[in-house]
Formats: sequence, C-alpha cells, structure tokens
Amino acid sequence: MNPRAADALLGLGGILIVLAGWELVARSGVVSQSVFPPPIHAMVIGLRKVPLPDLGGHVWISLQRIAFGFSAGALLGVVIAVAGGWYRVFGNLVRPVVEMLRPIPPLAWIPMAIVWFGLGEPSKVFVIFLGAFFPVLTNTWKGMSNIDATLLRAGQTMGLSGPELLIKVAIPATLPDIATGLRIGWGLAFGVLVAAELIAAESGLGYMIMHARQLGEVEVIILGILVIGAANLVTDWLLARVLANWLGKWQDTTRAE
Amino acid sequence: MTGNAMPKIEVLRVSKHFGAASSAPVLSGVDLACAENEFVCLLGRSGCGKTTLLNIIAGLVPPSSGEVRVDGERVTGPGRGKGMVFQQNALFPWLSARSNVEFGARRSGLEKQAARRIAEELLELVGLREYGERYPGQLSGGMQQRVAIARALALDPQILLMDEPFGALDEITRLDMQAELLRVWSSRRKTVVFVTHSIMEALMLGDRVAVMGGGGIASIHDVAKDRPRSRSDPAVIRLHDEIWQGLH
Repeated sequence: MNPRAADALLGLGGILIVLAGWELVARSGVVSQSVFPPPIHAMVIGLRKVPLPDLGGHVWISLQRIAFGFSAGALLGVVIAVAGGWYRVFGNLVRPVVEMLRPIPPLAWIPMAIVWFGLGEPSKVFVIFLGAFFPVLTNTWKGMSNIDATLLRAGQTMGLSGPELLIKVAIPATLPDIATGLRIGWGLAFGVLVAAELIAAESGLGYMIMHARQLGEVEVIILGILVIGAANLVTDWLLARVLANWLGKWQDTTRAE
Repeated sequence: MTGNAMPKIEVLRVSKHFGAASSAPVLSGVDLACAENEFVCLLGRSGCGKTTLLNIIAGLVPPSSGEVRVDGERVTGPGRGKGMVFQQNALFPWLSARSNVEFGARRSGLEKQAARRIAEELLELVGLREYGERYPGQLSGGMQQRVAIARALALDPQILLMDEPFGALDEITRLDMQAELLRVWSSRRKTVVFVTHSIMEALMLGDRVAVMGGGGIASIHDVAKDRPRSRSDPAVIRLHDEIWQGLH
C-alpha cells in the first residue's frame, strides 16, 4: 500500500475511534441519551426526521452560498492584494483600511448585512465573503511583499518591466501564498456558514440545526454538525488536491542536493 | 561597425553612493573597457563594490554619475541585450528547467517552436539534456547554475554578466563549473564580465583580471595564457602572488 493511502486510512481510523468512543459513552448511561445520544442512533433518527433528499437540499444550498461567497471573496482578495503589493501608492492607501477592518469578526457584520441586503441570499453570501476575503488578502499580500528580489531582477534582465513583470514573474512567485490563503479562506467560509444561515434562513445546514434546536430534536443537530464536518473535510481535501496540481512540482522545492 | 577599436563595454567615470550624497561612495570615478568577446573578471573582497559595478553595467542600478556604454550606446536600464547570471535562486521555481530556458529564448523574440529548439540545444550544451522536465527545486545547486547560464544564453545577449555565479557552490562543484563555463564560452563567444572573490577562479577564467578596492579598480592584470589553465602553472602562481600582495 502506498504511504498516502496508509495515511488516509489512519485518518479514517481516527474518526471511527472517536465515533466508537462516543457510542460507548452514550450507551453506558452516564449521561441522558436525550441530551447526548449515541451517534449511530442520532443519525438514524435524524435522517428519519430530515430525510435524505431534504438533507441533500440543505447541503446543496449551503455549498452554493459558500461557493459564491468564497469565489467573490477570494477573487477580490487576490486582486486587491496583488495591486496593493505591486503599486506602492495604492498599497499605502489600502493597507490601513484593511488593517482596521481585518480584526472584526465576520459575524459582527451580520446586523449590518441585514440592514444593507435584507434577509435574502446576499446577506448570507456577504458574511461568507468576509470570511474568505481577509485570509486570502493577507496571505497574498504577504507573498507579494516577500518575492525574492533576485527573481524580479532576473525578469528585468530578460527585458520585462511593468505589468509584464507583474504577470510573468511576481504573480507566479506568489502562487504558493495565494494557495495557502485560499485554503484558510475556504475553512473560514465554512466556519461562518452556520452563523450566516442564522439570518432568517429557511434552508441550509445552519438553518437545519437552529430549527432542530427550537423543536428539541437533538438528533438532527448532531446529524447537521456531522454533515458540516464531513462536507468541510471532503471539500478541503478536494481543494488541496486541486491546488497541489495547480502548483505542480514547484512545491517540492525542498532540496534535491 | 566602425571596426577595430571600439570597446564592447565602456565604463566611464562611474560613481555610486547609496543614501545621502555625503556618504562614502561605493564606487568613485571607475573607468573600464572590455573588448568584444573578452572575458573580464572583477575581483575583490566582499563590499568592494564589484557587484554594484556589475549591476550598473546591467542597468539594474543607475550610477550616481558617469555612464556605461554597450556598443557605444548608453545603458539606461536592464534589458535582454545584457544577459545576467546571479549567485543563486534566480531560476523561476514554477517552471521546469526547459521552460526556464525557453522563457529566455521567447524573450529574445523567438516563436514557440524555435524557442523550444533553442532550449533543447542549450540544455544539451550545459549537459542537462536529460533534466529538462525537472523543476529548479529538484536540481542540485550546480545544475541550477547550469540552467541559469543556459537561460542567459537563450536571450542571445550581446554581453553576459555573471555575479559570483559559483559563489554558493561547494569547492569541487565550483571547479567543475569553471571548466564547464569555459567549454560553453568557447562554443558561444560572448563578452563576459564575471564577478568573483576567488583569485584562483579569476585567474582560471579571465583574459584580464580587474582587482577592485578603495572604490575603484586598483589594478588590472593580463592573464596571457591559453585555456584550460593549470593551477600550478608558474605564471598563474606568480600572478596569484602579485594580486594577493596588491590586496594588502
């Protein structure tokens, strides 16, 4: 078996051990099963209350919101950071604004989002957008400011300057940091999903969980939490694969000597 | 071409100081001329201004006063007529060795097909035909510098500027690379300015060795010996002593 498959199997094993431990503790009767139901039981009951097609619908709408918010946030984050890192005047203009807004948690924007966008889709997408925007922006900016000067000089001695030097040398040199930003941004977009869907949503995993709490359906809450975790795990893995492909062999820059 | 006497590279009264104009200059009133196809080594201690002078010739750094001319034309900025090989890490890590060389060839105005052919030829010339698909991070330091030389040659530059290109390599690889460079240079004649802090390296490579110190060129030594030269050649040893003593 190749080492990567072995690693993946171990990871799966870890998840199963935790689920098994949970199952045992919950069945032992130490805590009431109505507060802390065993996972398999919870999933069975949960799926009875929210049948698979409905659950799939919630997952689908949540993923759509994340995809929109993340794409917009990532795109704008990369554009602003690249421009800010390359054009000094623009960078100095934008940097303090970014530094001021960055520490504000995306959730703190929810009331403002409702005022601006009402209760519809855009307000949820906006909060997710914020979750993705800042990590992508800061990582890209960091990459742009840390480009090895020798690479730029090499480009210049090959007759490159201005936008051509930016596109052919500076941006490719920043790709690993952009990739890091995208992964962190994706994680955060997932992180704020439930909160975003607290905004008077009628669909999505966040809504499903909050609605279940009102009805006292602990099983559905657990099902929702597990599905969010699994969806994040799977999509993050996919994103990592795509990015690794995209960066090619460049990433094994660790010594061949 | 008016013919015989015009130097390929002329450095005319070049001075450079960084920061305040009152600060001690790194270079003051440097004059140097390199003939077509000549191999000139700039030798000196760290901080003597040899890399600064090379960067000024490349057009990467403007002189505070004076000027540099290549083929009689004043240098106003970097460009592909002046190929440069840096000490290390100047290859684009996102491109394979072949694509790095091809990048240089494309910059010299070649179409994709022609650029690819040139890249193959140059990789062959530097002995890395088998390694075209490798990325810089998968190559040893010496191999990376071979690719960097191939990339600079792919520009088909009028002059080749080398900034301690073997300075980061281990001694053994360094000696191999010196021989390799001479072999490549003998098949692709260029005017070369080669910066080094190794007296022996300068004596193995250069037609002339310009010793730098005190903000300028302290002395110039002709190495009138056919290459490949031997480190134990009496003339080489004599020059080595002469330069060594001149540095103290």
